[in-house]
Amino acid sequence: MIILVTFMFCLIFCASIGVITVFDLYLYNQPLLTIVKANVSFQRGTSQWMIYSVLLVGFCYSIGVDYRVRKNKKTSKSS
Amino acid sequence: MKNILVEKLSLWQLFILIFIFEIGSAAVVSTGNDAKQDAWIALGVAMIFGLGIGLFFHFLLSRAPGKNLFEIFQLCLGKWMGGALIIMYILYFIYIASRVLRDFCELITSFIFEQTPVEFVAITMVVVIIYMLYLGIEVMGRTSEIFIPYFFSFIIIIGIAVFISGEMEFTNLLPILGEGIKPVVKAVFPQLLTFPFGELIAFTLIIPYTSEFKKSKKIILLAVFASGLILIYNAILQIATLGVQMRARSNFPLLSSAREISLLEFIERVDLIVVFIVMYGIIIKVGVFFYGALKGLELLSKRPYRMHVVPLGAIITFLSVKISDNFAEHIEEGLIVVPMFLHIPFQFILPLLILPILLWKTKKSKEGRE
Repeated sequence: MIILVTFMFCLIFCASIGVITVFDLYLYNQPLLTIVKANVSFQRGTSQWMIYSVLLVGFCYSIGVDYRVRKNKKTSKSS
Repeated sequence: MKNILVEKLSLWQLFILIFIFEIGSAAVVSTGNDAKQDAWIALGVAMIFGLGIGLFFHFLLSRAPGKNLFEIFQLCLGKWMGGALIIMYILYFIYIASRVLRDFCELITSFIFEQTPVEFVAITMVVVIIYMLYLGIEVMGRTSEIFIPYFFSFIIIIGIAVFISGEMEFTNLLPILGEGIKPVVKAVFPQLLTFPFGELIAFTLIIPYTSEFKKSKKIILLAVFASGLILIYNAILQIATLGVQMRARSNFPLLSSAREISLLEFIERVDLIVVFIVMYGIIIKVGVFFYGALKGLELLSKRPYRMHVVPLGAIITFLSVKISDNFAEHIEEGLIVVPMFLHIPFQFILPLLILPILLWKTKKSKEGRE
């Protein structure tokens, strides 16, 4: 698979959010949607923009890695 | 698999990594509170079980020489079932790394940088860990070699300094086993057994890369024993200085104890020494769990783990903040959910379930060779 790093990034991220959602559901007995929203949504007026930026950097980096791998494969095939 | 570097750790580096890893966050947050003034006894008992846990993990690895835990899963369960189990372990390692990171962030923002957001502390720490892991586990081992004298001597010095300051009240440790053995047992099972000793499971991904695997058994035992002694020393220091009630109420008892130090009315506020101990402990602990998750991704994606370092670091940073809204929630999750639903299955149940399959498979292959 060519987009493996990006795929893994998305898979692990979604699964991790799933894990913390399950634990919150167990502890707080709130509706699922409320907990998912709280875990994913960006709270304005806080410094959470920093971690969202880092997440974006991680995502862009993984795309960059996949692009580089694909490019290297193409070059090696053509040569 | 291409461009995958084979890294080797010396036995001394392995010893240091296990030693710092075990002390890591266990020295910061109060452990064994259920045993009250007998917390040090509970730690001693847990240390003995910890030696057994270390032996068990080593035995598991010795059945399939050169293979790490994830490779053993694939050997026993095949590509798909093994792969599913590996993903579960990756999630476990990431979750625990995020929790450990959050411990440190809370300590820093509560005591040292009160105006600094948790997010900023988490990002700076992860950047350091990403850099370290990008250069390889060997670099982490070598860095630990440099810092171990400071790490060790600072822990000892804190105890001596509190004692000289006259803040220690050894009667706080009495009565010994006043309420019988029950509180000790309650503290050991499952809390102390899983944290910090059961967390040695992360080393099943590092031990196969030591230069001399055969000798690593002794090193594991020595490291667990040494770290257990330091944890007992810490518990005695905290109980004698703060008393049982204060220790239980304090979020970071070692820091609270260190704040009592006052030598010659001149040497005071030595919090930074504790912060150094904690910071390095956390770097190693997060680094080892992070490395475990990376090795899993390397095996699944068949790409060098370095490609995944930055993306996974970003996820750990994000989770460390999102894992809970405040410190009370963080501790509640750590006491209720994590030991029962994560630590026990991933540290004991799953490896124990794998063991008979591994024994059968390795026996079969041995017979085939003969």
